[in-house]
Amino acid sequence: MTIDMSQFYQVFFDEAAEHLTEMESLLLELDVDAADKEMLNAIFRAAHSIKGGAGTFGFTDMARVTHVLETLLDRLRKQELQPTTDMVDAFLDAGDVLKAQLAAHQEGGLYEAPRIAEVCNRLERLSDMEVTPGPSAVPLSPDSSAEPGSSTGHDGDQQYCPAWVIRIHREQAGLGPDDSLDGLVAALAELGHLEPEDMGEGTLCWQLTAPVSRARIMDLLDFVCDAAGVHVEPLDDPGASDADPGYGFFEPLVDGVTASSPVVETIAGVGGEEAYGLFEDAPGSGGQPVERERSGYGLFEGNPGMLQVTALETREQEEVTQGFGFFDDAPGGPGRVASVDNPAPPPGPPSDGAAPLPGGGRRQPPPRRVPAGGDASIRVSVEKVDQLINLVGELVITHAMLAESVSSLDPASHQSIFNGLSGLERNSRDLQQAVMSIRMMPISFVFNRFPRVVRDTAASLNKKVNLKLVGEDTELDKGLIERLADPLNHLVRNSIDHGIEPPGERRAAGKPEVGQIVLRASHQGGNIVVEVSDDGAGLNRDRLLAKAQEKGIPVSDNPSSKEVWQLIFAPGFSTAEKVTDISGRGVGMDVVRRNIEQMNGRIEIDSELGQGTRIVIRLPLTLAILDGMSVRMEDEIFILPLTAIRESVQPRREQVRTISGKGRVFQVGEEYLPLIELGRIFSRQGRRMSVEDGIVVIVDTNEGRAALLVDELVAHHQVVIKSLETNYRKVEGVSGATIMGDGRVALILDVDELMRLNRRLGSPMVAPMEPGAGT
Amino acid sequence: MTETARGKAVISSDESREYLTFTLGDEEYGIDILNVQEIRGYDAVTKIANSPDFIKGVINMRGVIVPIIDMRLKFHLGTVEYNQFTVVIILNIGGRVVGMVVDGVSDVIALKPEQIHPAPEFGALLDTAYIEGLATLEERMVIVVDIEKLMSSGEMGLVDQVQSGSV
Repeated sequence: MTIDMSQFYQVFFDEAAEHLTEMESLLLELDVDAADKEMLNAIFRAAHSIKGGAGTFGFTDMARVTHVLETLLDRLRKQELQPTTDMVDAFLDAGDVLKAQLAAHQEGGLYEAPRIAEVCNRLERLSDMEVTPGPSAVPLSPDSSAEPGSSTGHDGDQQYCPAWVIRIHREQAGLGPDDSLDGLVAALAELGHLEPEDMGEGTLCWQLTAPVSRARIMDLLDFVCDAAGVHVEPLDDPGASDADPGYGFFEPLVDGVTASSPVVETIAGVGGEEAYGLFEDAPGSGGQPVERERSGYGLFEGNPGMLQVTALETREQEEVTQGFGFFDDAPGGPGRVASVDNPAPPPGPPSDGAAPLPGGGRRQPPPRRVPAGGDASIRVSVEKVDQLINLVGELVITHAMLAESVSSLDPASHQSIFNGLSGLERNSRDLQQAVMSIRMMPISFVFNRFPRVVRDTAASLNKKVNLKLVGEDTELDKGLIERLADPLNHLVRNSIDHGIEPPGERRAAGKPEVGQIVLRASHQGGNIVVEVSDDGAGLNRDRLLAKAQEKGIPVSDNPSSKEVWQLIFAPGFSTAEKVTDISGRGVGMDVVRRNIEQMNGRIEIDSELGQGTRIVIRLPLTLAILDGMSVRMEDEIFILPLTAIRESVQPRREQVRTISGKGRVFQVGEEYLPLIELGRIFSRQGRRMSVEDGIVVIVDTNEGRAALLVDELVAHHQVVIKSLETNYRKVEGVSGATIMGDGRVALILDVDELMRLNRRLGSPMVAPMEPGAGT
Repeated sequence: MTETARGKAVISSDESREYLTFTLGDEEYGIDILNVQEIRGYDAVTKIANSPDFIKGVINMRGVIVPIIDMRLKFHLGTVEYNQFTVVIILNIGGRVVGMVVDGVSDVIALKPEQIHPAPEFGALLDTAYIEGLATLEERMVIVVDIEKLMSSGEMGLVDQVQSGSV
């Protein structure tokens, strides 16, 4: 079989990443003292899925690590071993290794590090610990733990792939030479992988790699031909089954089972038929191996009933049986399996084979991913979604243009046009919202990593911290989610490092020993608000001010708390007494602020000494749309991001002062702000308009506040951001462009760059470069 | 850039290629028609600050922001006026869309490579580096321009300098 597996790689990468994330979050939730069996099962399942996929796609290094991981997990879930924190740590480490390996594979490389061996050894050591024999202990194959590194070596033997050779003698089977067997071939192919063997004259021959019983095959064949002409034989060479992608995931079990007691073999004797009925029904079965694995596997493991089945007599069909050692002792639902999928009683001789049923009633099968044939979600490239968003944006603009040109018509005589237009408006708005929502993802995608971050950081600092997540379902743009991760990471680590006090100090302060960090996300108006708060020591105003003085950062005479808190965003500012590898180098907070501002967001701090700190990040819902104020300069319209605007002022002449060599400043209250004249920066004439004719907008830039002089404030808009760089180049002072209702292009101003431009304009050295000089 | 130009020449060595010709002042220029996306009239443009004067600004072309350059200003061809006859050739150069204002669009002609002769060192508004050659068509002389090379040159200022090497 030579299917090009590489086309499925991306699917594997995505799914493996999901499984890893799931595994990690489960591990973090796991309570070692009272481990929930369902949870252990779920962790095992995640590890197992990764292993199956990795084996199938030939990523043997990942398969090796997961194999060791799984061995230990398996013993945990069988309650042969008690989970310990040490194990959880080892699992998390293994997860990290897997992530690194996955990342390496994604780039086409290989992750090689001594860490892999370390983690593997550690896991092995843990899983080699004394067995506390459980009632259902299935002996593990010794070599599975003894030589985990070599699992790739015997992949072929390990894989549980009963294969059958089907021979049909045309004549004996009562088939004419021209009878089509397409239907049969299709039916067989549904069972598993079907490969035509060399067909001699008058004889048809296939090799079927599928975990089915002979009876099942015969059933199918009976429909089309006479049993006399049919030979179905098990295929001896297990290596041949290697090719089947679907079954890599059985590896571990087989290992355990082949070496195993008759007990195991019996299990599936009964379970076999009915159980595999499920596989066939599983929607994924014809499709990708990973999908299939999930659906089938999810149903099986977790069957307590299987235990009872062990009591049943051995039956023939060993191959079929073997796979089921795997499912034994799992709690869950054979009852359900049997009753739903196999109305006929199990064919085994002891007809109290109903024994599996009680298991089903005992416990509800845990909620699982419904193997609903993948119709629950589809993977679409971001590019396609973006294209859709662009097109819808165009539609909205086109509508606005239409509406504008129609507005001159008499509404009475053109009623149908107006009706049509309003319908169009409604629909396109709905469409826009629907399309936007495609890009929306719950913020839990970022939040979910923090339990781990908090755990590791707190442990390395010997602090006790509890993390609480609130509003994880809040949705925001995918692009924002990705860019939010780093700043949040920084803030959380900062909170643990600087905010939360060591347990001793906390006790002394009368606070609970365990500090609390809350990550909260919510919608507020058109914004997303993400909050990182802790109940730690809070910011120390005096220390911040002292530090500012030391660093030479200008502070006003009697600064408000807000201003003082903003100091920590100054570059190079750190009040940490010692630099740790977590924080304290003072490079972080200004980067955090810059990142947030790049997303058109704002960051605010609230702090109470001794009570804690709260950092609030406000972000627009999406990167694609900007809330802005349109301002006019001569006959050009510019968009000023609303987040940058503090207030607007009707200026008076005496508010403007000239400082020689430094341009003009604008006085607001006690403060003198640099005056940025949009007209001077953007006009070709470099004209200087009198201040009274315009309006001054006070804006926040990364160098502090500034006064921006424009001709007029026009209106408040939500605009779709377009890049100028697509077809042109970066323009200074402009962050992008948008299309206004009348179809014209308006440039979106970047106040930080305007500030820089203004400074250059002011200094005489650069004066010849002034606008207009180019002509 | 020279690489691509040469590559093109090799491919087309025995086939004739089509060129769109346009006039600038008294001269007639030809550009590879495959670089032409469409021809349209002149719309109101949004000016871009601090750009050379021949970059008129940007327009919205069905949602795409397209810079417009005026070749007449670029080559100092006297007074230019914008009216309903002003023509903009929208070029697509390596995926980048650029509008080019010219005096007029005249024809689409097919030229065989042997019809294009090397250009002498002078005589055109353009630097010879951007000229593929000269072609004679009936009584007219057409200056065949390597428009890709011209538009991505640093001289036009259409692309960031860092990028211009790779475009």
